[in-house]
Amino acid sequence: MNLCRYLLEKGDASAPALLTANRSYTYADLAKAAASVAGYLTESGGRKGERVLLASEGGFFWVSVYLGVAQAGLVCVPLPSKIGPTELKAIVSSVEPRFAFLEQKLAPKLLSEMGSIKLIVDGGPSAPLAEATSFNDVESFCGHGAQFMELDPDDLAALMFTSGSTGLPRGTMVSVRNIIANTDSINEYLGIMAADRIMAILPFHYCFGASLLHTHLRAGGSVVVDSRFMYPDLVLERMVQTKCTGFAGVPSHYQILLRRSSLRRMSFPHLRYVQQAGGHLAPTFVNALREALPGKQIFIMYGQTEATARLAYLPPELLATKQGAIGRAIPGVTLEVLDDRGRPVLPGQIGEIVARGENVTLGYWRDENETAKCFRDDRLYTGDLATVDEEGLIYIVDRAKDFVKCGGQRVSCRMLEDVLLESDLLVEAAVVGFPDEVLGEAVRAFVVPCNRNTDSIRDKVIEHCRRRLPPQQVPKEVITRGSLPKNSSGKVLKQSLREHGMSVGRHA
Amino acid sequence: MHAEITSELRKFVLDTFLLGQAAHLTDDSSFMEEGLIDSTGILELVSFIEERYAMQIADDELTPDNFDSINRVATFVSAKVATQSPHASA
Repeated sequence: MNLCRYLLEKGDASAPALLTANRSYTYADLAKAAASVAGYLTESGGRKGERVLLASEGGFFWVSVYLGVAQAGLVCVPLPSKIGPTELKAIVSSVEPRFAFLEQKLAPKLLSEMGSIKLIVDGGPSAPLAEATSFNDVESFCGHGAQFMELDPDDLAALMFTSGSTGLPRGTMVSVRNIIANTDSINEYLGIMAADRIMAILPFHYCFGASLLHTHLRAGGSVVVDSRFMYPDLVLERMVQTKCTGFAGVPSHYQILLRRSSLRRMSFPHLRYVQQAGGHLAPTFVNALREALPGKQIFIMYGQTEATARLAYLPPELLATKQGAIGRAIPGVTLEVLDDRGRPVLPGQIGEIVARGENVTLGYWRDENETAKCFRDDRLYTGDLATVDEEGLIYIVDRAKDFVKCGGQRVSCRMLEDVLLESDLLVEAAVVGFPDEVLGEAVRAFVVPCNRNTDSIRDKVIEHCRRRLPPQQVPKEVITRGSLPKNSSGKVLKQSLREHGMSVGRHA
Repeated sequence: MHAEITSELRKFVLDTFLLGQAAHLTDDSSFMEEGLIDSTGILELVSFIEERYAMQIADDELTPDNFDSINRVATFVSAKVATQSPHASA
Protein backbone atom coordinates (compact mmCIF):
# COMPACT_ATOMS: atom_id res chain seq x y z
CA MET A 1 0.00 0.00 0.00
CA ASN A 2 1.01 3.61 -0.49
CA LEU A 3 -0.35 6.51 1.51
CA CYS A 4 0.01 9.09 -1.26
CA ARG A 5 -1.94 6.94 -3.68
CA TYR A 6 -4.60 6.29 -1.03
CA LEU A 7 -4.98 10.04 -0.43
CA LEU A 8 -5.15 11.13 -4.06
CA GLU A 9 -6.86 8.29 -5.89
CA LYS A 10 -10.46 9.38 -5.27
CA GLY A 11 -10.05 13.00 -6.36
CA ASP A 12 -11.08 14.06 -9.84
CA ALA A 13 -7.92 15.27 -11.63
CA SER A 14 -9.46 18.63 -12.52
CA ALA A 15 -11.24 19.15 -9.20
CA PRO A 16 -9.86 21.64 -6.66
CA ALA A 17 -7.98 19.95 -3.81
CA LEU A 18 -6.17 22.78 -2.04
CA LEU A 19 -6.96 26.49 -1.88
CA THR A 20 -4.17 28.67 -0.54
CA ALA A 21 -4.04 32.45 -0.12
CA ASN A 22 -2.95 32.92 -3.73
CA ARG A 23 -4.45 30.16 -5.79
CA SER A 24 -6.26 26.89 -6.13
CA TYR A 25 -4.56 23.56 -6.84
CA THR A 26 -6.28 20.61 -8.45
CA TYR A 27 -5.74 16.94 -7.71
CA ALA A 28 -3.64 16.78 -10.88
CA ASP A 29 -1.44 19.62 -9.53
CA LEU A 30 -0.92 17.79 -6.23
CA ALA A 31 -0.18 14.48 -7.98
CA LYS A 32 2.41 16.18 -10.17
CA ALA A 33 4.07 17.96 -7.24
CA ALA A 34 4.12 14.77 -5.17
CA ALA A 35 5.71 12.87 -8.03
CA SER A 36 8.39 15.54 -8.39
CA VAL A 37 9.25 15.43 -4.69
CA ALA A 38 9.20 11.62 -4.72
CA GLY A 39 11.39 11.55 -7.83
CA TYR A 40 13.83 13.99 -6.25
CA LEU A 41 14.04 12.03 -2.99
CA THR A 42 14.61 8.72 -4.77
CA GLU A 43 17.15 10.22 -7.16
CA SER A 44 19.00 11.77 -4.20
CA GLY A 45 19.35 8.36 -2.60
CA GLY A 46 16.43 8.56 -0.19
CA ARG A 47 15.31 5.13 0.90
CA LYS A 48 12.21 3.67 2.50
CA GLY A 49 12.01 4.44 6.21
CA GLU A 50 14.42 7.39 6.19
CA ARG A 51 13.16 10.51 7.91
CA VAL A 52 12.34 13.83 6.29
CA LEU A 53 11.81 16.97 8.38
CA LEU A 54 9.11 19.35 7.22
CA ALA A 55 8.81 22.74 8.88
CA SER A 56 6.60 25.29 7.22
CA GLU A 57 3.19 26.89 7.43
CA GLY A 58 0.58 24.68 5.82
CA GLY A 59 0.31 25.49 2.10
CA PHE A 60 1.20 24.05 -1.28
CA PHE A 61 4.82 23.51 -0.21
CA TRP A 62 3.76 21.58 2.87
CA VAL A 63 1.23 19.40 1.07
CA SER A 64 3.56 18.67 -1.88
CA VAL A 65 6.37 17.54 0.40
CA TYR A 66 4.09 15.48 2.64
CA LEU A 67 2.57 13.65 -0.32
CA GLY A 68 5.92 13.25 -2.09
CA VAL A 69 7.55 11.78 1.01
CA ALA A 70 4.64 9.33 1.27
CA GLN A 71 4.87 8.41 -2.40
CA ALA A 72 8.58 7.61 -2.05
CA GLY A 73 7.99 5.60 1.13
CA LEU A 74 10.02 7.82 3.45
CA VAL A 75 8.83 9.01 6.86
CA CYS A 76 7.58 12.56 7.27
CA VAL A 77 8.40 14.46 10.47
CA PRO A 78 6.22 17.58 10.42
CA LEU A 79 7.27 20.26 12.89
CA PRO A 80 5.71 23.52 14.01
CA SER A 81 6.98 26.36 11.86
CA LYS A 82 7.85 28.26 15.03
CA ILE A 83 9.91 25.53 16.64
CA GLY A 84 12.71 26.79 18.84
CA PRO A 85 16.38 25.80 18.51
CA THR A 86 16.48 23.61 21.63
CA GLU A 87 13.54 21.46 20.64
CA LEU A 88 14.75 21.28 17.07
CA LYS A 89 18.19 20.14 18.11
CA ALA A 90 16.71 17.39 20.27
CA ILE A 91 14.45 16.21 17.45
CA VAL A 92 17.22 16.28 14.86
CA SER A 93 19.52 14.18 17.03
CA SER A 94 16.73 11.74 17.80
CA VAL A 95 15.24 11.19 14.33
CA GLU A 96 18.47 11.56 12.30
CA PRO A 97 16.76 12.95 9.23
CA ARG A 98 18.26 12.54 5.78
CA PHE A 99 16.40 15.54 4.31
CA ALA A 100 14.81 18.72 5.67
CA PHE A 101 12.28 20.81 3.78
CA LEU A 102 12.00 24.27 5.31
CA GLU A 103 10.14 27.45 4.66
CA GLN A 104 12.62 30.11 3.64
CA LYS A 105 12.12 32.44 6.56
CA LEU A 106 12.64 29.58 9.01
CA ALA A 107 15.74 28.24 7.37
CA PRO A 108 18.34 30.65 8.79
CA LYS A 109 17.47 29.93 12.40
CA LEU A 110 17.50 26.20 11.79
CA LEU A 111 20.66 26.18 9.75
CA SER A 112 23.09 25.65 12.61
CA GLU A 113 21.21 22.51 13.64
CA MET A 114 21.28 20.92 10.25
CA GLY A 115 24.71 19.36 10.08
CA SER A 116 24.98 17.13 7.03
CA ILE A 117 21.26 16.97 6.34
CA LYS A 118 20.20 17.78 2.81
CA LEU A 119 18.35 21.07 3.02
CA ILE A 120 15.57 22.09 0.63
CA VAL A 121 14.18 25.59 1.01
CA ASP A 122 10.87 26.90 -0.23
CA GLY A 123 11.36 29.96 -2.41
CA GLY A 124 15.01 29.31 -3.16
CA PRO A 125 18.25 29.75 -1.28
CA SER A 126 19.20 33.17 0.03
CA ALA A 127 22.58 34.46 1.18
CA PRO A 128 23.23 32.33 4.28
CA LEU A 129 21.80 29.28 2.57
CA ALA A 130 23.89 29.00 -0.53
CA GLU A 131 24.27 25.27 0.08
CA ALA A 132 20.55 24.63 0.15
CA THR A 133 18.53 23.33 -2.76
CA SER A 134 15.66 25.48 -3.95
CA PHE A 135 12.23 23.90 -3.87
CA ASN A 136 11.72 25.37 -7.34
CA ASP A 137 14.37 22.95 -8.60
CA VAL A 138 12.63 20.08 -6.85
CA GLU A 139 9.27 21.11 -8.24
CA SER A 140 10.58 21.22 -11.79
CA PHE A 141 12.21 17.84 -11.28
CA CYS A 142 10.54 15.55 -13.73
CA GLY A 143 8.63 13.19 -11.51
CA HIS A 144 6.96 11.55 -14.44
CA GLY A 145 6.98 7.85 -13.80
CA ALA A 146 8.09 8.26 -10.18
CA GLN A 147 7.19 5.05 -8.39
CA PHE A 148 4.74 4.63 -5.55
CA MET A 149 6.81 2.73 -3.03
CA GLU A 150 4.75 -0.21 -1.81
CA LEU A 151 4.83 -0.35 1.99
CA ASP A 152 3.62 -2.85 4.56
CA PRO A 153 0.68 -1.70 6.68
CA ASP A 154 2.88 -1.37 9.76
CA ASP A 155 5.60 0.62 8.03
CA LEU A 156 6.05 4.14 9.36
CA ALA A 157 4.37 7.02 7.55
CA ALA A 158 5.04 9.85 9.99
CA LEU A 159 6.54 10.81 13.31
CA MET A 160 4.19 13.26 14.98
CA PHE A 161 5.89 15.24 17.71
CA THR A 162 3.90 16.64 20.59
CA SER A 163 5.24 18.81 23.33
CA GLY A 164 4.55 16.98 26.55
CA SER A 165 3.72 19.03 29.61
CA THR A 166 7.13 18.07 30.92
CA GLY A 167 10.43 17.51 29.19
CA LEU A 168 11.24 17.31 25.51
CA PRO A 169 8.81 16.57 22.71
CA ARG A 170 7.80 12.98 22.06
CA GLY A 171 7.48 11.50 18.59
CA THR A 172 4.48 9.27 18.03
CA MET A 173 5.12 6.60 15.39
CA VAL A 174 2.21 6.62 12.96
CA SER A 175 1.96 3.79 10.43
CA VAL A 176 0.37 3.77 7.00
CA ARG A 177 -2.38 1.51 8.34
CA ASN A 178 -3.03 3.93 11.24
CA ILE A 179 -3.68 6.87 8.94
CA ILE A 180 -5.83 4.89 6.52
CA ALA A 181 -7.95 3.38 9.31
CA ASN A 182 -8.51 6.71 11.08
CA THR A 183 -9.25 8.56 7.84
CA ASP A 184 -11.85 6.02 6.68
CA SER A 185 -13.48 6.06 10.09
CA ILE A 186 -13.69 9.86 10.30
CA ASN A 187 -15.07 10.10 6.78
CA GLU A 188 -17.74 7.60 7.72
CA TYR A 189 -19.09 9.36 10.80
CA LEU A 190 -18.68 12.92 9.47
CA GLY A 191 -20.12 11.89 6.12
CA ILE A 192 -17.38 13.72 4.21
CA MET A 193 -17.85 13.59 0.44
CA ALA A 194 -16.30 15.08 -2.68
CA ALA A 195 -18.57 18.11 -2.32
CA ASP A 196 -17.10 18.92 1.09
CA ARG A 197 -14.68 21.73 1.64
CA ILE A 198 -13.06 22.42 5.01
CA MET A 199 -11.66 25.67 6.37
CA ALA A 200 -8.30 24.58 7.82
CA ILE A 201 -6.90 27.10 10.28
CA LEU A 202 -5.18 24.32 12.24
CA PRO A 203 -1.56 23.59 11.41
CA PHE A 204 -0.98 20.30 9.59
CA HIS A 205 1.85 19.29 11.93
CA TYR A 206 -0.86 18.84 14.57
CA CYS A 207 -2.74 15.55 14.24
CA PHE A 208 -6.13 17.30 14.16
CA GLY A 209 -4.96 19.53 11.29
CA ALA A 210 -3.45 16.55 9.46
CA SER A 211 -6.76 14.69 9.81
CA LEU A 212 -8.51 17.48 7.90
CA LEU A 213 -6.10 17.08 5.02
CA HIS A 214 -6.28 13.27 5.04
CA THR A 215 -10.06 13.05 5.18
CA HIS A 216 -10.82 15.65 2.54
CA LEU A 217 -8.25 14.43 0.05
CA ARG A 218 -9.40 10.84 0.48
CA ALA A 219 -13.01 11.91 -0.13
CA GLY A 220 -12.05 13.90 -3.21
CA GLY A 221 -13.07 17.11 -1.46
CA SER A 222 -11.02 20.23 -0.84
CA VAL A 223 -9.13 22.07 1.89
CA VAL A 224 -8.89 25.84 2.27
CA VAL A 225 -5.81 26.85 4.23
CA ASP A 226 -5.86 30.15 6.03
CA SER A 227 -3.37 31.24 8.66
CA ARG A 228 -5.08 34.54 9.45
CA PHE A 229 -7.18 33.49 12.41
CA MET A 230 -5.70 36.43 14.33
CA TYR A 231 -8.30 38.37 12.31
CA PRO A 232 -11.24 36.01 12.79
CA ASP A 233 -13.62 37.96 10.56
CA LEU A 234 -11.29 37.51 7.59
CA VAL A 235 -11.44 33.76 8.04
CA LEU A 236 -15.23 33.84 8.34
CA GLU A 237 -15.55 35.95 5.19
CA ARG A 238 -13.25 33.56 3.34
CA MET A 239 -15.42 30.64 4.44
CA VAL A 240 -18.40 32.32 2.82
CA GLN A 241 -16.48 33.27 -0.34
CA THR A 242 -14.98 29.83 -0.84
CA LYS A 243 -18.25 28.08 0.08
CA CYS A 244 -16.80 26.00 2.89
CA THR A 245 -19.04 23.18 4.08
CA GLY A 246 -17.04 22.57 7.24
CA PHE A 247 -14.99 24.27 9.93
CA ALA A 248 -12.66 22.72 12.51
CA GLY A 249 -11.19 24.22 15.64
CA VAL A 250 -9.95 23.69 19.17
CA PRO A 251 -11.78 25.30 22.11
CA SER A 252 -9.91 28.61 21.94
CA HIS A 253 -10.95 29.08 18.31
CA TYR A 254 -14.63 28.71 19.17
CA GLN A 255 -14.23 30.94 22.21
CA ILE A 256 -12.71 33.70 20.09
CA LEU A 257 -15.34 33.24 17.36
CA LEU A 258 -18.17 33.45 19.87
CA ARG A 259 -16.87 36.33 21.94
CA ARG A 260 -14.66 38.33 19.55
CA SER A 261 -15.91 38.00 15.96
CA SER A 262 -18.91 38.66 13.72
CA LEU A 263 -19.94 34.99 13.76
CA ARG A 264 -23.41 35.68 15.13
CA ARG A 265 -24.09 38.45 12.62
CA MET A 266 -23.08 36.43 9.59
CA SER A 267 -24.74 33.59 7.73
CA PHE A 268 -23.00 30.65 6.15
CA PRO A 269 -25.24 29.26 3.43
CA HIS A 270 -22.86 26.46 2.43
CA LEU A 271 -21.79 25.39 5.89
CA ARG A 272 -22.96 21.88 6.79
CA TYR A 273 -21.19 21.23 10.06
CA VAL A 274 -18.44 22.26 12.46
CA GLN A 275 -16.05 19.94 14.30
CA GLN A 276 -14.37 20.57 17.65
CA ALA A 277 -11.57 18.59 19.28
CA GLY A 278 -8.34 19.29 21.11
CA GLY A 279 -9.77 19.77 24.58
CA HIS A 280 -12.88 20.57 26.51
CA LEU A 281 -15.22 23.27 25.20
CA ALA A 282 -17.26 24.61 28.12
CA PRO A 283 -21.01 23.85 27.85
CA THR A 284 -21.81 27.56 27.78
CA PHE A 285 -19.83 27.87 24.52
CA VAL A 286 -21.41 24.73 23.05
CA ASN A 287 -24.82 26.25 23.70
CA ALA A 288 -23.75 29.59 22.25
CA LEU A 289 -22.48 27.78 19.18
CA ARG A 290 -25.82 26.04 18.69
CA GLU A 291 -27.53 29.41 18.84
CA ALA A 292 -25.02 31.09 16.52
CA LEU A 293 -25.22 28.31 13.90
CA PRO A 294 -28.85 27.20 13.79
CA GLY A 295 -29.44 24.16 11.62
CA LYS A 296 -25.74 23.29 11.36
CA GLN A 297 -24.39 20.06 12.80
CA ILE A 298 -21.92 20.36 15.67
CA PHE A 299 -19.52 17.48 16.24
CA ILE A 300 -17.78 17.39 19.61
CA MET A 301 -14.89 14.97 19.34
CA TYR A 302 -12.02 13.46 21.29
CA GLY A 303 -8.69 12.01 20.31
CA GLN A 304 -4.97 11.82 20.82
CA THR A 305 -1.90 11.89 18.62
CA GLU A 306 -1.20 8.39 19.99
CA ALA A 307 -4.42 7.27 18.28
CA THR A 308 -3.42 8.95 14.97
CA ALA A 309 -6.00 11.65 15.67
CA ARG A 310 -9.51 10.56 16.63
CA LEU A 311 -11.07 8.16 19.12
CA ALA A 312 -14.59 9.35 19.91
CA TYR A 313 -17.34 11.68 18.77
CA LEU A 314 -20.69 12.79 20.07
CA PRO A 315 -23.43 12.38 17.45
CA PRO A 316 -24.87 15.90 16.92
CA GLU A 317 -28.39 14.75 17.75
CA LEU A 318 -27.23 13.92 21.28
CA LEU A 319 -25.62 17.31 21.89
CA ALA A 320 -28.64 18.73 23.69
CA THR A 321 -29.21 15.77 25.99
CA LYS A 322 -25.64 14.57 26.59
CA GLN A 323 -23.92 17.80 27.40
CA GLY A 324 -20.27 17.48 28.33
CA ALA A 325 -19.90 13.99 26.82
CA ILE A 326 -17.14 13.12 24.37
CA GLY A 327 -19.55 10.54 23.00
CA ARG A 328 -18.81 7.08 21.72
CA ALA A 329 -16.00 5.30 19.93
CA ILE A 330 -15.67 6.13 16.25
CA PRO A 331 -16.25 3.28 13.76
CA GLY A 332 -13.57 0.60 14.03
CA VAL A 333 -12.45 1.63 17.51
CA THR A 334 -13.30 0.03 20.87
CA LEU A 335 -13.20 2.25 23.92
CA GLU A 336 -13.39 1.04 27.48
CA VAL A 337 -13.17 2.88 30.75
CA LEU A 338 -11.21 0.67 33.11
CA ASP A 339 -10.55 0.83 36.84
CA ASP A 340 -7.20 0.25 38.57
CA ARG A 341 -7.55 -3.50 38.20
CA GLY A 342 -8.42 -3.33 34.52
CA ARG A 343 -12.16 -3.94 34.95
CA PRO A 344 -14.76 -1.86 33.12
CA VAL A 345 -16.20 0.73 35.51
CA LEU A 346 -19.88 0.86 36.45
CA PRO A 347 -21.88 3.93 35.42
CA GLY A 348 -20.75 6.86 37.54
CA GLN A 349 -17.39 5.38 38.57
CA ILE A 350 -14.15 6.89 37.36
CA GLY A 351 -11.61 4.98 35.27
CA GLU A 352 -9.07 5.42 32.50
CA ILE A 353 -10.03 5.48 28.83
CA VAL A 354 -8.40 2.57 27.02
CA ALA A 355 -8.60 2.19 23.23
CA ARG A 356 -8.19 -0.56 20.69
CA GLY A 357 -8.29 -0.24 16.95
CA GLU A 358 -6.18 0.01 13.82
CA ASN A 359 -5.58 3.70 14.52
CA VAL A 360 -3.66 2.95 17.73
CA THR A 361 -0.14 3.92 16.77
CA LEU A 362 3.07 1.94 17.13
CA GLY A 363 4.35 3.83 20.20
CA TYR A 364 6.92 6.53 20.83
CA TRP A 365 10.02 6.91 18.68
CA ARG A 366 13.08 5.49 20.44
CA ASP A 367 11.43 5.62 23.84
CA GLU A 368 10.67 2.13 25.07
CA ASN A 369 9.87 3.16 28.62
CA GLU A 370 7.18 5.64 27.67
CA THR A 371 5.86 3.27 25.02
CA ALA A 372 5.54 0.47 27.57
CA LYS A 373 3.57 2.76 29.88
CA CYS A 374 0.93 3.79 27.34
CA PHE A 375 0.85 0.98 24.79
CA ARG A 376 0.16 -2.45 26.28
CA ASP A 377 -1.49 -5.58 24.84
CA ASP A 378 -2.42 -3.82 21.60
CA ARG A 379 -4.23 -1.17 23.57
CA LEU A 380 -3.65 2.51 24.13
CA TYR A 381 -3.88 3.68 27.74
CA THR A 382 -4.82 7.29 27.21
CA GLY A 383 -4.17 8.62 30.71
CA ASP A 384 -7.52 10.40 30.48
CA LEU A 385 -9.96 9.79 33.33
CA ALA A 386 -13.62 9.37 32.52
CA THR A 387 -17.01 8.05 33.53
CA VAL A 388 -19.60 6.22 31.46
CA ASP A 389 -23.37 6.65 31.64
CA GLU A 390 -26.05 3.95 31.31
CA GLU A 391 -26.13 4.41 27.54
CA GLY A 392 -22.39 3.97 27.15
CA LEU A 393 -21.54 7.61 26.52
CA ILE A 394 -18.19 8.67 27.88
CA TYR A 395 -17.50 11.81 29.92
CA ILE A 396 -13.94 12.99 30.53
CA VAL A 397 -13.56 13.82 34.19
CA ASP A 398 -10.30 15.71 34.26
CA ARG A 399 -6.63 15.32 33.78
CA ALA A 400 -5.42 13.40 36.77
CA LYS A 401 -3.61 16.39 38.24
CA ASP A 402 -6.03 19.14 37.29
CA PHE A 403 -7.65 19.54 40.66
CA VAL A 404 -7.61 22.12 43.40
CA LYS A 405 -7.81 20.77 46.92
CA CYS A 406 -9.90 23.34 48.80
CA GLY A 407 -10.85 22.67 52.40
CA GLY A 408 -9.86 19.02 52.02
CA GLN A 409 -12.11 18.52 49.00
CA ARG A 410 -10.89 17.84 45.49
CA VAL A 411 -12.53 20.24 43.10
CA SER A 412 -12.19 19.88 39.36
CA CYS A 413 -10.51 22.86 37.70
CA ARG A 414 -12.55 22.21 34.59
CA MET A 415 -15.82 22.49 36.52
CA LEU A 416 -14.67 25.81 37.97
CA GLU A 417 -13.59 27.05 34.54
CA ASP A 418 -16.97 26.11 33.09
CA VAL A 419 -18.68 28.14 35.83
CA LEU A 420 -16.43 31.15 35.23
CA LEU A 421 -17.13 31.08 31.50
CA GLU A 422 -20.89 31.07 32.02
CA SER A 423 -20.61 34.72 33.00
CA ASP A 424 -20.47 36.06 29.40
CA LEU A 425 -17.71 38.42 30.54
CA LEU A 426 -14.84 36.17 29.53
CA VAL A 427 -13.21 34.73 26.45
CA GLU A 428 -11.06 32.27 28.37
CA ALA A 429 -10.47 31.14 31.92
CA ALA A 430 -7.97 28.82 33.55
CA VAL A 431 -7.95 27.80 37.19
CA VAL A 432 -5.01 26.69 39.31
CA GLY A 433 -4.59 26.15 43.03
CA PHE A 434 -2.26 28.08 45.32
CA PRO A 435 -1.31 27.53 48.95
CA ASP A 436 -3.72 28.98 51.48
CA GLU A 437 -3.41 28.88 55.26
CA VAL A 438 -7.06 28.17 55.89
CA LEU A 439 -8.16 26.08 52.93
CA GLY A 440 -4.93 24.24 52.15
CA GLU A 441 -5.34 25.36 48.59
CA ALA A 442 -7.34 28.27 47.28
CA VAL A 443 -8.57 28.95 43.77
CA ARG A 444 -6.66 31.32 41.54
CA ALA A 445 -8.40 32.16 38.26
CA PHE A 446 -6.64 33.57 35.22
CA VAL A 447 -9.27 35.22 33.05
CA VAL A 448 -9.30 36.86 29.63
CA PRO A 449 -12.11 39.41 29.58
CA CYS A 450 -14.12 40.01 26.40
CA ASN A 451 -13.58 43.67 27.00
CA ARG A 452 -10.88 45.01 29.26
CA ASN A 453 -12.89 48.15 29.84
CA THR A 454 -15.61 46.35 31.68
CA ASP A 455 -15.51 48.03 35.08
CA SER A 456 -14.21 46.03 37.99
CA ILE A 457 -14.08 42.76 36.12
CA ARG A 458 -12.66 40.97 39.15
CA ASP A 459 -15.59 41.95 41.35
CA LYS A 460 -18.06 40.88 38.71
CA VAL A 461 -16.36 37.54 38.21
CA ILE A 462 -16.29 36.89 41.95
CA GLU A 463 -19.90 37.96 42.35
CA HIS A 464 -20.86 35.58 39.54
CA CYS A 465 -18.99 32.72 41.23
CA ARG A 466 -20.55 33.45 44.63
CA ARG A 467 -23.98 32.86 43.14
CA ARG A 468 -22.95 29.46 41.82
CA LEU A 469 -20.28 27.98 44.04
CA PRO A 470 -19.76 27.15 47.71
CA PRO A 471 -17.63 29.82 49.41
CA GLN A 472 -14.37 27.86 49.54
CA GLN A 473 -14.49 27.28 45.76
CA VAL A 474 -14.96 30.94 44.85
CA PRO A 475 -11.66 32.23 43.40
CA LYS A 476 -9.64 34.01 46.02
CA GLU A 477 -7.59 35.67 43.31
CA VAL A 478 -8.72 36.72 39.86
CA ILE A 479 -5.95 37.74 37.51
CA THR A 480 -6.86 39.35 34.22
CA ARG A 481 -4.75 38.59 31.18
CA GLY A 482 -4.84 39.57 27.52
CA SER A 483 -4.50 35.89 26.63
CA LEU A 484 -3.53 32.58 28.18
CA PRO A 485 -0.23 30.84 27.36
CA LYS A 486 -0.80 28.01 24.88
CA ASN A 487 1.17 25.44 22.96
CA SER A 488 1.17 25.40 19.16
CA SER A 489 -2.01 23.32 19.02
CA GLY A 490 -3.89 25.75 21.20
CA LYS A 491 -3.84 23.91 24.53
CA VAL A 492 -3.56 26.08 27.63
CA LEU A 493 -0.26 25.55 29.42
CA LYS A 494 -1.43 25.13 33.00
CA GLN A 495 2.05 24.48 34.32
CA SER A 496 3.20 27.85 33.07
CA LEU A 497 0.28 29.49 34.87
CA ARG A 498 1.11 27.62 38.07
CA GLU A 499 4.69 28.79 37.87
CA HIS A 500 3.72 32.29 36.93
CA GLY A 501 1.31 32.36 39.80
CA MET A 502 4.19 31.97 42.23
CA SER A 503 5.53 35.37 41.30
CA VAL A 504 2.18 37.11 41.31
CA GLY A 505 1.32 39.28 44.28
CA ARG A 506 -1.86 38.86 46.22
CA HIS A 507 -3.41 41.95 44.78
CA ALA A 508 -2.71 41.12 41.17
CA MET B 1 0.74 61.98 19.50
CA HIS B 2 1.28 59.47 16.69
CA ALA B 3 4.99 59.17 17.46
CA GLU B 4 4.31 58.62 21.13
CA ILE B 5 1.73 55.92 20.42
CA THR B 6 4.09 54.26 17.94
CA SER B 7 6.83 54.08 20.51
CA GLU B 8 4.52 52.69 23.21
CA LEU B 9 3.15 50.06 20.84
CA ARG B 10 6.59 49.11 19.72
CA LYS B 11 7.68 48.57 23.29
CA PHE B 12 4.58 46.50 24.05
CA VAL B 13 5.02 44.28 20.97
CA LEU B 14 8.72 43.79 21.68
CA ASP B 15 8.22 42.98 25.35
CA THR B 16 5.18 40.78 24.88
CA PHE B 17 5.82 38.84 21.68
CA LEU B 18 9.55 39.07 21.01
CA LEU B 19 10.78 39.01 24.59
CA GLY B 20 12.70 42.18 23.96
CA GLN B 21 14.60 40.95 20.89
CA ALA B 22 14.17 43.57 18.20
CA ALA B 23 15.73 41.30 15.55
CA HIS B 24 13.93 42.19 12.35
CA LEU B 25 11.02 44.16 13.70
CA THR B 26 10.41 47.42 11.88
CA ASP B 27 7.37 49.62 12.30
CA ASP B 28 6.09 48.27 8.99
CA SER B 29 6.75 44.56 9.63
CA SER B 30 3.59 42.57 8.97
CA PHE B 31 2.61 40.69 12.14
CA MET B 32 0.89 38.09 10.02
CA GLU B 33 3.62 37.48 7.46
CA GLU B 34 6.41 37.47 10.01
CA GLY B 35 4.37 35.18 12.23
CA LEU B 36 4.97 37.54 15.17
CA ILE B 37 1.54 37.40 16.71
CA ASP B 38 -1.10 34.65 16.77
CA SER B 39 -4.83 34.71 17.39
CA THR B 40 -4.57 34.98 21.15
CA GLY B 41 -1.64 37.37 20.87
CA ILE B 42 -3.72 39.84 18.94
CA LEU B 43 -6.33 39.76 21.69
CA GLU B 44 -3.57 40.67 24.07
CA LEU B 45 -2.65 43.62 21.86
CA VAL B 46 -6.31 44.63 21.68
CA SER B 47 -6.63 44.46 25.47
CA PHE B 48 -3.52 46.57 25.89
CA ILE B 49 -4.84 49.24 23.52
CA GLU B 50 -8.31 49.21 25.06
CA GLU B 51 -6.86 49.69 28.50
CA ARG B 52 -4.03 52.07 27.71
CA TYR B 53 -6.01 54.40 25.43
CA ALA B 54 -9.39 53.92 27.09
CA MET B 55 -11.19 52.88 23.95
CA GLN B 56 -13.28 49.99 22.74
CA ILE B 57 -12.35 48.09 19.64
CA ALA B 58 -15.23 46.52 17.75
CA ASP B 59 -14.90 43.01 16.34
CA ASP B 60 -15.09 44.27 12.78
CA GLU B 61 -12.27 46.75 13.41
CA LEU B 62 -9.93 43.81 13.94
CA THR B 63 -8.57 43.78 10.39
CA PRO B 64 -5.08 43.73 8.85
CA ASP B 65 -5.64 47.31 7.60
CA ASN B 66 -5.92 48.46 11.19
CA PHE B 67 -3.71 45.97 12.97
CA ASP B 68 -1.07 44.33 10.82
CA SER B 69 1.98 46.43 11.75
CA ILE B 70 3.06 48.82 14.44
CA ASN B 71 2.51 51.76 12.09
CA ARG B 72 -0.96 50.60 11.13
CA VAL B 73 -2.00 50.12 14.73
CA ALA B 74 -0.56 53.54 15.64
CA THR B 75 -2.45 55.22 12.81
CA PHE B 76 -5.66 53.45 13.75
CA VAL B 77 -5.30 54.27 17.44
CA SER B 78 -4.34 57.91 16.81
CA ALA B 79 -7.38 58.40 14.57
CA LYS B 80 -9.63 56.81 17.14
CA VAL B 81 -8.19 58.88 19.99
CA ALA B 82 -8.81 62.00 17.91
CA THR B 83 -12.48 61.18 17.25
CA GLN B 84 -13.08 60.16 20.83
CA SER B 85 -11.73 63.31 22.43
CA PRO B 86 -11.90 66.30 20.08
CA HIS B 87 -10.45 68.57 22.77
CA ALA B 88 -7.61 66.30 23.66
CA SER B 89 -5.00 68.91 22.81
CA ALA B 90 -6.43 71.31 25.38
